[in-house]
Amino acid sequence: MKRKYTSDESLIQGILCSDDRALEYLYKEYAEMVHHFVLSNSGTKEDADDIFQDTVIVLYEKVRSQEFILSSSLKTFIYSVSRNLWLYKLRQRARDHKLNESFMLVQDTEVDADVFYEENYKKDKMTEFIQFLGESCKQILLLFYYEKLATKDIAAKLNLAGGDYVKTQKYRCLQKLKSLYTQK
Amino acid sequence: MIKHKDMDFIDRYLHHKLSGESLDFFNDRVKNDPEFAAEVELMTKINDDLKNYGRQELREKIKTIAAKKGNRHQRSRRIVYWSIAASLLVLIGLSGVYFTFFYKQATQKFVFNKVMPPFKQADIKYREYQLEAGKGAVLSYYSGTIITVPKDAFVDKKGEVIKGNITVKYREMMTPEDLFIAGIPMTYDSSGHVSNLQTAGVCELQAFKNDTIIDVNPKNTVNIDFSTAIEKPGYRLLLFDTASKKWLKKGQDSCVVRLDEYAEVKEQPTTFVPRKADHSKPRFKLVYRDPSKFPEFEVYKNYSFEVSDNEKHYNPADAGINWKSVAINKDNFTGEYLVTFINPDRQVTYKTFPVFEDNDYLVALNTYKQKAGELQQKPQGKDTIGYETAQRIKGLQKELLKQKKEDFLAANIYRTFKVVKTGLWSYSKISEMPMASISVDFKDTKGDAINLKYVAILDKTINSIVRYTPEEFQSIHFDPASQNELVAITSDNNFAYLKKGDFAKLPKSGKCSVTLQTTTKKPESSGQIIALIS
Repeated sequence: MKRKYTSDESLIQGILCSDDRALEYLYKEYAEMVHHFVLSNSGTKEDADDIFQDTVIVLYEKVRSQEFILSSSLKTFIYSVSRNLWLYKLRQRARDHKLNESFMLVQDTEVDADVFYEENYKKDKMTEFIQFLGESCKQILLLFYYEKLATKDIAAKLNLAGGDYVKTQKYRCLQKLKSLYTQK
Repeated sequence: MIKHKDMDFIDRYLHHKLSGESLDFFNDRVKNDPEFAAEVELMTKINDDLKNYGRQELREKIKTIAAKKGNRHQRSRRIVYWSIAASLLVLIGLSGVYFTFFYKQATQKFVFNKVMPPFKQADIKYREYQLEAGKGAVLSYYSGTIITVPKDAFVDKKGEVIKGNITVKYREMMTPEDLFIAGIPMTYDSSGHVSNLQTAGVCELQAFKNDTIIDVNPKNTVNIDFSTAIEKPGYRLLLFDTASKKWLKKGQDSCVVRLDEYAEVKEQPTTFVPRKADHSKPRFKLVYRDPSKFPEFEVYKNYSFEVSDNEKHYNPADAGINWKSVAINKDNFTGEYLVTFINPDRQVTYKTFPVFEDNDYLVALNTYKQKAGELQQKPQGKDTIGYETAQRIKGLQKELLKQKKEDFLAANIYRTFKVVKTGLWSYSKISEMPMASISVDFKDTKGDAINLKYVAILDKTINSIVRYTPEEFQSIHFDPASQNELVAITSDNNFAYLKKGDFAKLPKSGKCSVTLQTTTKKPESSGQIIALIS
């Protein structure tokens, strides 16, 4: 790990900048905690992997939503989100697993797990189109629409001429993508 | 092809950066500009798909990192697996019979996947309406719900439009008690993930021609303005599909309308376009003091009445006479004002129209422009769709009250939807599994074990019902902060229930024994059941 995040705030800043080292740091610091929790509450390794991935996705999307205020430590937040997501998954299964006592004590978070999962498991039609767009278009569109970066930040990240250039490229990429959708 | 400017506008919408007026403007464009609306629809889809793609990429990145980090978690997994394996061996060793018993129960599991009223005679009654299918009708339910059946709204099995007399049956299940009594399934299956539902209300609409079931004409759907006590948004429109035995999502909860939030449109006084005075023409300075007769004058000051070019009998000498009184009438055909000067011995009427002099004309013109602008503006503070829905419902309410429809109650909060199919509809959402969990042994009042078909927890706070079969009694969940009731159906199909107020005494975790009351005979009405538990 080349960079050490000295505070939750700097880690969140890393997420906002789409710095892959932030993701590695998150994994190093919190994956074990989430795995331990899921495995201790009737989950399997695969469940734990899924829950950690889902938790990171929730965290990333919350942070990028601009409404994100970290009212507790990031560790508590991650624990609460993963607990909530696992609770949701457990609810879908047979209810004959008695839950660990500590499971009951954690404060709830406002993660709408059902909405999250519903969106998450939609058929991924984009995959079949994205390969036609090329890497550059894919990156611009994902950074703009999924990561919600401003065009000037995308330019900086991808080492492109500037915000206006990204805007024009984004427009062209979208026209291309739309034509794929309408031909479908 | 969409312009850059419009694309930016849509992007701001997709990034949730529009609010207030800009969002209103956006919604107006979606409503009034089909090309723009189509673009928004496509971009929303692309945005959603990109989100899913982005999530998948993030997952792949995490998997790559995990693979790099080696097998640290596999070690902990091995330890847990060994612990589980050891525990299972001990349990199997001690309780072989126990496991066999549960397996047997599981194969007979009672699945609540269709409407199953526990007591047919106590079921929630339908309200029946007789109507002529070719004409349609506006129907009202006790709760305030209004069902608008357009003409030719029903078809037979072959899809042929039904004519002649038909029967429409309608009922509502608004409380957990209603859901229990009517035996409404209240779970939602999303790709095999089954969740409990909490509801803002369930309703059922059925239609018959000569006792044969008929369905809604997809080209001419029935509209339901569904009266609901729950104003909070976030409930989804669901239809219970009898073939797959599942609730299917049919729409978002986009339109909760509180009628009292939408003031009725005060009829705007019709103004007239100000006209500049012609100094070569005779005119009278009159102030009319009864605004109710000519409200169009209300907004103007300093007008006078100029003799019309159509007036061929004007006598300038009349201007020098001291008249006792004056009356004004309007010729609605020509738009002229007929000014009558009255004296005991003579009266004379002139055709006129209102005019303004010089500066007064400019002031009047500004007043007119302002007024005309106001008339074009949509009502303030609320979205147009909500406003129009509210006005429509108010109109229907007025009509139904005028017709003195028996039992019609003009409700205040409505959710509006189109019925594209007869059957069960609801506004519901997935409910979190409550945290408190107890393992329960159910007994009768003599202290003997009681055989139950299922138990239902009625959460009156969030409006939900969760049913538990005997193999699930060791993990019954409830929210201690809610107002709950516990009801049950015995294996010989009798009604059992926890005494009023006893639920609050239950522990919030661990094992407990619960004594249920039973009725000596099957309930004969929904009122009997409600009286026992509520």
